[in-house]
Order: sequence, then structure tokens, then C-alpha cells
Amino acid sequence: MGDVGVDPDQVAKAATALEQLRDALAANVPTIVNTMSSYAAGVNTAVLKQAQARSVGDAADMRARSNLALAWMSNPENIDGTYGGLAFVPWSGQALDNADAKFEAQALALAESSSDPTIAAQQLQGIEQDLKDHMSDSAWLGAFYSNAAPYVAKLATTLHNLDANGQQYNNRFTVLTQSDQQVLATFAKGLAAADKSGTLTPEAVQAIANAPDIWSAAMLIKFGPPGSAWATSEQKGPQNPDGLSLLAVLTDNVYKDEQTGKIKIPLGGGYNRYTADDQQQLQGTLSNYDPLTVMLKADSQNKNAAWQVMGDDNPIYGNPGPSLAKLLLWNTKDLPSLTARFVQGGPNDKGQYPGYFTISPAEKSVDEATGAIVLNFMDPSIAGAFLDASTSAPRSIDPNDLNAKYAAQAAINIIDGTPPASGDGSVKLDPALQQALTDTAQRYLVDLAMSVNNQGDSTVLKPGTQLPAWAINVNGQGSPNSLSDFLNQIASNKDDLASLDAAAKVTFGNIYAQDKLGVLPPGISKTGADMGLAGLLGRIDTAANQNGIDLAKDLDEQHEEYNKMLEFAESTVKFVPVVGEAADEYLDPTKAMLGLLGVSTEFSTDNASTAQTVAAQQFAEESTQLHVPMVQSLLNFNAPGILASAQQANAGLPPDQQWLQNGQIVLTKANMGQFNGWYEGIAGEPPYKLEDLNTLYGDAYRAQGGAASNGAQGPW
Amino acid sequence: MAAGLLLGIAACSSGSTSSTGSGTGQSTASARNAAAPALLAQCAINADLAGAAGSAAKASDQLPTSQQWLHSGKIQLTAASAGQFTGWYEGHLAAATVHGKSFDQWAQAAASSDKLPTAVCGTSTTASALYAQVYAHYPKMMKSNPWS
Repeated sequence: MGDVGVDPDQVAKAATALEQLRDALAANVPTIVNTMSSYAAGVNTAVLKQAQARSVGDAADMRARSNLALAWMSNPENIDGTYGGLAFVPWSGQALDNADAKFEAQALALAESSSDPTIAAQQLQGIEQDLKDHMSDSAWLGAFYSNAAPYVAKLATTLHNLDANGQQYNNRFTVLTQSDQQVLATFAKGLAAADKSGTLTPEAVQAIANAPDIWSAAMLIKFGPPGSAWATSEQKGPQNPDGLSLLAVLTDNVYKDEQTGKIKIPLGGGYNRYTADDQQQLQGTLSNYDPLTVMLKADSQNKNAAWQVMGDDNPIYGNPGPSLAKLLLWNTKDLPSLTARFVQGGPNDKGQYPGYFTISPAEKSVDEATGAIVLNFMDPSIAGAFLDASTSAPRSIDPNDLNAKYAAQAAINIIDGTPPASGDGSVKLDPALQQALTDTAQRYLVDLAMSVNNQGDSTVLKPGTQLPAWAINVNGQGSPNSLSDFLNQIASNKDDLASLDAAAKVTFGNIYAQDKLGVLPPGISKTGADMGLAGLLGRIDTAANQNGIDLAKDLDEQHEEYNKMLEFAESTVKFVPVVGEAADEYLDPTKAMLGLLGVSTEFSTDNASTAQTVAAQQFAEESTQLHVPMVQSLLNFNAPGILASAQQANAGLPPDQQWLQNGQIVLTKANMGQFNGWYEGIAGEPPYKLEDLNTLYGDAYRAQGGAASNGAQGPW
Repeated sequence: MAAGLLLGIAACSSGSTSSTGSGTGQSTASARNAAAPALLAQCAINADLAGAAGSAAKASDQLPTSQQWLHSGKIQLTAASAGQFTGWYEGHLAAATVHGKSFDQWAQAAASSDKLPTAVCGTSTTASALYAQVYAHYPKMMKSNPWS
């Protein structure tokens, strides 16, 4: 339908009437329906619900016609064209939506430029209501934001200027009022919906993600829905050649602008000074509005954004990954976890004309002539979650899978950016950050193993180079080297150390068993993988020693630390890579990786892990722990002869000495001797020749500094 | 056990946050261990053992120039290219078997004995000479040659 002639006054009355009807129905229909239902009156209330649902759109459409009619009449170009007081507007469908969305976008621009706070607030309220009415209309939202994006991007600053009068003492901690926050939440919700539905134009995405006022744009994310509600990618364009998500590009720009001191947080005004009593609240307020913290939190919820920020090294986005990793991992020349300083006022104004705080990056000296200086320490749980998410993309054999590539690069940035926990320049990280390191290590365990002899810089490897999947080869040689510092940091936490050590042993066992049975997938170099893992165990052992932990301590000497470490390992079996406890496979790329590499992830390894843990404790003295997961892996892969032999040996034993339960090795003090006797009987037998391990892998282990090996067998 | 503990303390007292730096006897052995794959790979390429020549050329040629590690049949490692070489070696050559041993095993034997295995490398070159060729463009590695 084309444009139709309408009487603006009559349409306005109709709009008001429909809005009243909408509100009346909203206020009463739920009560009526509930009441009728509770009496089981048998009255069909569906029609009431339909009427209520429809009233929202009807009122919105009529208000749109009214707005468009008024705009048409106020356009000087139309004065000569009026006929009988009629205005010509689109009546329905996409034409009405487009015209209305464009009208509201123009209204937003006008409201933001208004010098009268009252009028501006009224205008914003009207736009907000229309936005709410169209919240499920992705076409309308797309049209609105494609026109309004530049004004939406600066909405937070506009609202602050309208409502948080810095001249009033009581507003000295007010960045955005409760009302402002609600308005922002509505605009952000609509933006996220448009973004996720793919109706935002590339220009609109850029207007938000590359906004001149980047702090204001980031506040849409702060008050908007969770990061998972936003898109994971955008259309490619000249400014966004890799099609990164709005969240990712915005994060890149926030980080870049924070590092160059371009971001200002509006707060306070006049000649008000912050006293010593104000400092705590001031710090809390400013930290709460730190845009980088806001973005990293959303990125970790979105996941794709975290992969992209940490992993896309295209210079057009600034390649923030390497330096951001160092910043978040306390690897700077500044205070641990300090990410920025908030500096009151502009340079050299001595705080005389405050009204904003500039974000000054870590490691940068601040002019003492400025006003208040507030330190910003980022919450490690937010930084840890972001780093953890950044390496969580499933491993992939697809050379075109950029997510896997980004995650691999993110892993490198994290590993290269990790400071050692002992020695010169060391710092022991918060547990939340260490968790990110441990998860990353387990996602790339085989890669780390194959990196032990890498003398070069860390690098991402295409599928088919080292493994069938996207892989990493980390700088593993030299002093210092990334692999040692990374393992050293993990080993500083006994819990994490035990998890990683157990994971390496179980993975080693799986690869060994698959090779022996001829089921190792093509493309995996068994020798490279298992020799590397033997070397990695040596490096883990060395890292443990550097932190004062001897993985091979004799139980007779009752080293409590070692026992605690094993207890930790028992409590963290879910982190052992072949355990299938994680409900969300998406969050468990280790599982996906092992599936990809052909390692069975179906069998329960709870017992295997427990067995490994118990075995580690019981056999520490004899330095033979590794054989337990290896034998378990052979059993799991139905190695001919092994299962039958184990069952036969087990069958004649008294119940308390039986060590094989439903195909799983479960070791206790009572049955340990029986298991050991059986193992020694088969260890030298072909085709498995388990005892050859000591000679075959011992050198690889010792070559990587397996210092506790006492020059003989490894403590594995 | 006491010996193990002492070794552990020795590792701590190196004064370094890293375990495998150069400068000690163990580090020299470790440095040989880390360099041996490149030297053995060069031998394999020279003699075209286990299809190494073709595989190496294909792997290196597809990389960006700064990461290419094979030039006219000669391995030349830099900080930017060494990681790519290690990835190729671990994924392709480490498990390949010649004369009854895998390249990894040959590399271990070479590092332990401080000599190249004649079965793989012949007698016309030395480990020290190959090292000098492989790391000629990698100043950090040229500071000391761990092969006698």
C-alpha cells in the first residue's frame, strides 16, 4: 500500500485511544484471566489474551502514523501540497516500519541536541516506548539502529549531561541515574536484538564499535543484556575485513583508547573536591564504569568475542592480544592486577575543572599536577573468565575455521604473557587467573608436549603441520622461555599442578595404547606426541621443583605436601581431559580435541583417574605411576590379551584383593600388591612391552630436566 | 631420594626462572637435544630419507616468507621460523623410521653421544658444521655451539 492521506489530529486521537486501551488491557487482562481460571468457569479467555497482545502493535502503529503525519505537516516542502488538511504517510507494513524507525532515529538526534533537559527527557521517553513496542520486530529494530546508531552510541554521555549535574554536591558519585540506566538498558536490548538478528548495517556496527565517544558506547554493553545475547560476527567491510563481532571490535577500540589515554569517565563537576573519606566510594564508582572491565565480562559470556579479541592479529584491529594478555596476567612493570589509573580532570588543571576522570594506562606515569588519582585493579575473576573463554573454541581440522585459529593464537598470547611464579620478576597469580592457565594447558596439552624443543618464537600451526587440527608450537627453549614460565606458574598451585600432571599422564597413556593397538589416527605422529609428553612430564616436574614441590617424594618420608597434592587431584578429576563429566561439550574443547584426535571419550575415567591418583600415591616410591593409566588405556581400547589376562588374574583373588572392577583398575592398599605382581608378569611380554617405557621415554623425560628422577626411572 | 632432592635444589638454585637455559653441563646436553632434530632433518633432506625433502619443501613453501625455514634445500632457522620447523618435524619426521630407529630416537642418540649418526648423516659432515649452517641467521643460537 502506498502513502495514504490522514487527518493528523484524528490519527493522534486514535493513537492516544489505542494507547489507553493497550494500558487498560495490560493492567486488567492478567487479573481477569487468572480469576476466571481459578474458578474453572469454562470461559474462553484466549480472545482476551489475543486482544492484549495485539493492542501493543496497534497502538505503536497508530502512534507511528500520527508522528509521521505531524512530521509531514511540519515539513515546509509539504505546505503547498496539503489537501484538506490531510498528511500523506505510509499506512502499514514494512513501509510504515521503515518510516517510523527513521522518524524515531531523527527524534533521537533532536533529543540529544536539545538544550532543555525536560524536553529532551520527554522526547527520549517517547522513543523508548516505541522501542519497547517494537522489541520483537527485528526489521523495525534494524531500520531504527541503522539510522540512529551514532546517536545511540553517545546516549550514555547525553544522559549523564542531562541528569547528573556535577555542580550539585550530592551528585559527585553519580555517573548515570537509575532512570538513565533504565533508558540505556532499553536501547541496548534493542541494539543487541538487531545485532543478533543480523539486521544491523556494517555502518551501524561501526558507528557503535568505533564511536568517537567509546566510553558511552561501552555503557550500552554494561546496561544491556549478557554477552551471549549479542552477535558472534558481522558482515565484512572495509573497516571490518574479518567480520568480527560488534563486541569484539568495540573491545579492541576500548582497549586501544584506554592505552592511549583517550577515554574519559564523566563524574563530578564544579570545584568539588573528593576528600579522603570519599576515596573508597570514588574508586568503587569509577571501577564500576571502567569500559574495559565491562567489555571483557561481556566477551567472556559471548565467547566468540573473546576468541576474536585475543586471537585476531590483523593490525587493522590493533592486535591487542599479546599486550592485553600481559596486562591481565600481571606481567607489567606496574602493580599486580592494576589495569589503569583514573585521573581527575585534564592535564595540568590541578583538578580545578573536574567533571571527568581520564583513564591512564598501567605503566604510564601520571602528572602530579592533576587532581585525584584513583587506582583501578581489575577483578581477577573477570579477567580470568575472559582469558579462559578466549581459548575455549573447539579444536578443528578445518583450515578455514577461524575460531579455532583465533583460540590457538589466544593460547599463545596467554602462554607467552604468563609471568613465572618463582625467580626474578616473578608473581604468583590469583587462582581465577591460574584456572585460565590450567584450562588452556589442558586444551593444548599435546601441543605443549610437542613444543619442548622449540627454540623459536611461539607460533600457530595450520592443520596438518604438527597435528591434524589447528595447533600451537610454543617457545620451549632458552632462558627464559615461555613454556617454562607458563608451567612454573601453574605448578605454583598444587591443585593445578596435580591436575596437569594427571592430564599429561592419562593423555600419554591414551596415545601409547592407541599406537600399540594401531588405532592412532592418521596425521598424528605417535613418536612426536608421546616423546613430547614424556618431555613435558619432565618439564612439569622441573616446574614443580622450582616451586619447592618434589613430585617423586617417597611416601615413607610422609611428605604432607605430596599427599595434599594428590587429594587436590582427586577433587579435580573433572579437569583430566578424558573425563566426560562436563555437561556442555562446547565448554569442554579438550573433550572435543580428543574426540578429534580419535581418543575415546566415552568410557568413564573417574575410576581411571582415581586409579591413577591412588597409584601415584602408592607407587611413588617405585616411580612407576605412569603404567597404571597406560594399562587402563589398553583395557579401554580392548587390547587383545590384556583384558583376558587381567580378568584371569583377578578372578581367583579374595574380594578385597581384586583390583579390576568392571574393566577399571581400582587400587587400594589391600590389592596393590596383587596388581603389581600381575603387572610385572606382563610388563616384559610382547606386543606391549610396557617395561620398555623406562628406556624409551626416560631420556626424553630427563632431557627436559626431570630433576627428581634420581638419574634413573622417571617419577611417572 | 636424597639425590633426587639435591637435584631438585640444584634446579632451583640456577637463578633462572627457566629450566633449560644454556650455560651448564645439563643445559649443553639440553641444547643439543633441542637442536638435534634440525640437524637430523637436514641429513634426511640431504639424503631424501623418508620423503623428507619433498615434505619439507612443501611445508616451508606454503608459509609466509618470514616463517619459511627451508631455503634451496638448506634448513635455516630464525626466531620466527623455528616454531614452524619444530611443528613440521614433530608432525612428519619424528616418527619416521630409518635403519630401525625413529628420527626421535636417532636425535636422542645424537644428543647423548655428541655425534651425528653415520647411518643417517653419513661421514661427510659434522654436527658442529651443520649447527652453524642451521642457525647462521639466528644470532641468539649462534652465541654458543653445543656440539663439539
